[in-house]
Amino acid sequence: MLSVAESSTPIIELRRLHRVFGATRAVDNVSFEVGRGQVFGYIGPNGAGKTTSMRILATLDLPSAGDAFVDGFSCVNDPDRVRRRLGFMPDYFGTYADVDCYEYLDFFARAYGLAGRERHQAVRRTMSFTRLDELATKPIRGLSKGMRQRLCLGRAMIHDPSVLILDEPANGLDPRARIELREMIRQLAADGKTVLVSSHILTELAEMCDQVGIIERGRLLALGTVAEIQRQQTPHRSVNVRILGGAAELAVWLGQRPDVSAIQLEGEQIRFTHAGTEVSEASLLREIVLANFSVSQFASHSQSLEDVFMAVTRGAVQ
Amino acid sequence: MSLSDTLTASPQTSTSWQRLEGLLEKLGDRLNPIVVKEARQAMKSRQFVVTFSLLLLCGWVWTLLFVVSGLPAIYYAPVGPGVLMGYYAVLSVPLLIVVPYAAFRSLAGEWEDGTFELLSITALSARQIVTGKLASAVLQMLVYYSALAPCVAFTYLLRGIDIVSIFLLLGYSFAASLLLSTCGLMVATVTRVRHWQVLLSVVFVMALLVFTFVWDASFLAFLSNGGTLPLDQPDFWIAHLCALTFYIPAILLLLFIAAGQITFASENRSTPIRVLLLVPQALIIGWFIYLWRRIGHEGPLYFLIFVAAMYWAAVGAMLTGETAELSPRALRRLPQSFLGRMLFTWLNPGSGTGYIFVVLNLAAVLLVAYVVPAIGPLPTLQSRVLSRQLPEPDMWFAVSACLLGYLAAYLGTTRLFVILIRRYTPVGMPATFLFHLILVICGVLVPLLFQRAITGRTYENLAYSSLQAPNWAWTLEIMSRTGTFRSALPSLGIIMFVGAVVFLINFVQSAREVQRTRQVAPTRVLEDDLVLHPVTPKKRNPWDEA
Repeated sequence: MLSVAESSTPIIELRRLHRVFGATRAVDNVSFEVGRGQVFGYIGPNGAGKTTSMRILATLDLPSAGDAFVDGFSCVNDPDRVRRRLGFMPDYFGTYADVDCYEYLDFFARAYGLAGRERHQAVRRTMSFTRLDELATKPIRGLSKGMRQRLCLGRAMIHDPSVLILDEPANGLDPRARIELREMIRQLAADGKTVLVSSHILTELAEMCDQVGIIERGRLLALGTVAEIQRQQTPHRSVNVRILGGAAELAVWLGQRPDVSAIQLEGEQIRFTHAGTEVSEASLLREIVLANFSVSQFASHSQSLEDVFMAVTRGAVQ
Repeated sequence: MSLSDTLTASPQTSTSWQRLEGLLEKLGDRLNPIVVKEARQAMKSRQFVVTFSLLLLCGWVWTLLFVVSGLPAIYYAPVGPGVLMGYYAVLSVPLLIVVPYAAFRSLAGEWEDGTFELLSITALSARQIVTGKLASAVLQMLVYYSALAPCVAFTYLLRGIDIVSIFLLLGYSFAASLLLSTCGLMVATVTRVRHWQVLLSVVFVMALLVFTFVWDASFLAFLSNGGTLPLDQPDFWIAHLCALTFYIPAILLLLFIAAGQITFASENRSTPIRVLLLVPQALIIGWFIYLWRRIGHEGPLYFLIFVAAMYWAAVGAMLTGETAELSPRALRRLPQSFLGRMLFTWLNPGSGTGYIFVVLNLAAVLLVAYVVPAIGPLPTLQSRVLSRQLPEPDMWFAVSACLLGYLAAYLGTTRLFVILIRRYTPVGMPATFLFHLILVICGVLVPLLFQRAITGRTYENLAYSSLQAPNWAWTLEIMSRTGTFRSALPSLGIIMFVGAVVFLINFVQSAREVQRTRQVAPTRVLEDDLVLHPVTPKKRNPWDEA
């Protein structure tokens, strides 16, 4: 089993999880752990099995085999205990007619067993966090998509759960609403919540997630921190060097090194691929300078999460 | 003043209104959250406003029309029943159509709007969700009643009908509305597939319309004939008590079924329903014994065994459709002791335990019906009746054995058939019920067709023969009509033999379900239980401070 959790007691654990719908294997032997207070990004194309595994974690569905655990409780056998610790924000709104924002949150606070002052404080805290204070008496039907998303996030966290599962929370949001949502997720993580979030916007996930899992056709293809996955998937780094004279000589010099390949000479600029870590890259730069080449620019970059995602997945759906 | 303001208000500014609001708030905290939410929604919903306004309007229009058309007779003639007819008809529309349909839509709408899943992962149990919906329906009913309360008072003032009768008649409507609303909730849980829900919705509305028409027609005819209830007759009240004792378990059963349908799959949904199923059984036995003693005739006891057989056949057709899998969660609550396992294993989920549960229950009823006349002779009639009216013991035994044999054979055969099919494809409870129905119908038709084919006679000329052993309808009819089992003796042997064999096969096959033992809850669960329900150490002596 792949394990990336830094904490010794994972708060989320998927153990050989399978979910079959007829001939379709929506989730196929998926196992991973998420430590407390981490933000886990769940990435995959549409129909990859993200929502299915999230629904099992949220105790909305049963696995065909295997089990999922939240804070050590089985999502199959102890759903009531899991629900107390978990807030789920699905990829749909799920709102009631003829209800305003305050009543909506108040209802779910009651439904989670909060009463009296505790309930009012929870509603006020949630409205403040999601910046819905001024919309308390506004009917839900009149809310924009971004406001609704914030309201749904508020509903998921009204009972102060330690784990939040957010399924495509940024889907269809404008850039401003997306940035606000990202800030909220960061704040939640800073408050010690464990967040499992799926999204198609990979740049955002790369920024906020401590670790990510890439899933396709129900199978977990990659797991780890973004940097780890980048290294796993693409051990080579692309390097761009600009020198003041002697570019051809440098190209020859580089060509003699076993860790350098794909050298391209473009005027004073040389592009090549370097197999190694950032440390060995620094050592290479030092050697170039010691070999009396006048380096005016040295830039290297690893592949982005999007590049890695494209490399790992094939875009296949079931 | 908003509630938040109330909470932050200083003691100096606290007024009696704020204290009252605080009290109401505390009361509200104890209410089912769904009632609070639905009441808030209803106050703003167009459906409620329109229905309430129309009800008020119709009530007042009817009052005016009746007064204007009835003048001057209303000054001296007892015209109360006449005016109540109008109010009854007006009230029946919201009570018997709008409220039950709103209850149905309220639950079905949770699936359509995607809110059910959000609700199901809260701390609310499935039973709380269903009872919350029902309580909201009751709240609506009360609001509609309150709208017509002045009209009802007006009816009483017009004389011709006493206040108890008025309340009873309105009570019947309330009971009917409550039952229909519960049915609506149960129907709403039958399927989550959109097109089936639309179909169910149409069927349910049509059923409500037909029911309301029949209901109104019956009560309006009753009121037009004077509307006098035999309030001074004890039997009238005993009949009401009897109806009430069956009505309450029926409502509970429907609620339990509805809650069972929406309960998380790993939960034990069957045991509470099975426990509740024992209540009508006890009531049937109790009321029939009461009737037997009251009438002074064994007829009710004889009738009892047929009613019980029908009841358990219907229940068995459902229970034998259960699957045998028990989640670890359900296994944690299995009975542990030898006595507990012996008595309560049959309440565990599973088609095998369900089958044995049903057969044992019918056997218990048959035993009671057979033993009661022997050990408890009628106090007033004594030996005269005993010698004349006790049924022939052999006949009594024969009918009982026949009913038990049929139940064991038919339910057991279908169960084995379903188990066989389940090896290839999943078979649900509705499908199992359908298989039962088909088999029972085939049990009547096939022997008839077969005998007609081999004898070449018409149906009118067919004589009962042992070929008709599977034909439960003809066998029981001929035994009851002739008052003897002589003509059906060979069939009786076949029925008992087949019933016993099928029962034995099922009993052996159910061993796996019976052998399950309790599983210990995981350590994490036990730890959590300790946190939720901490055990305070008891003092061992007066000086012990632990």
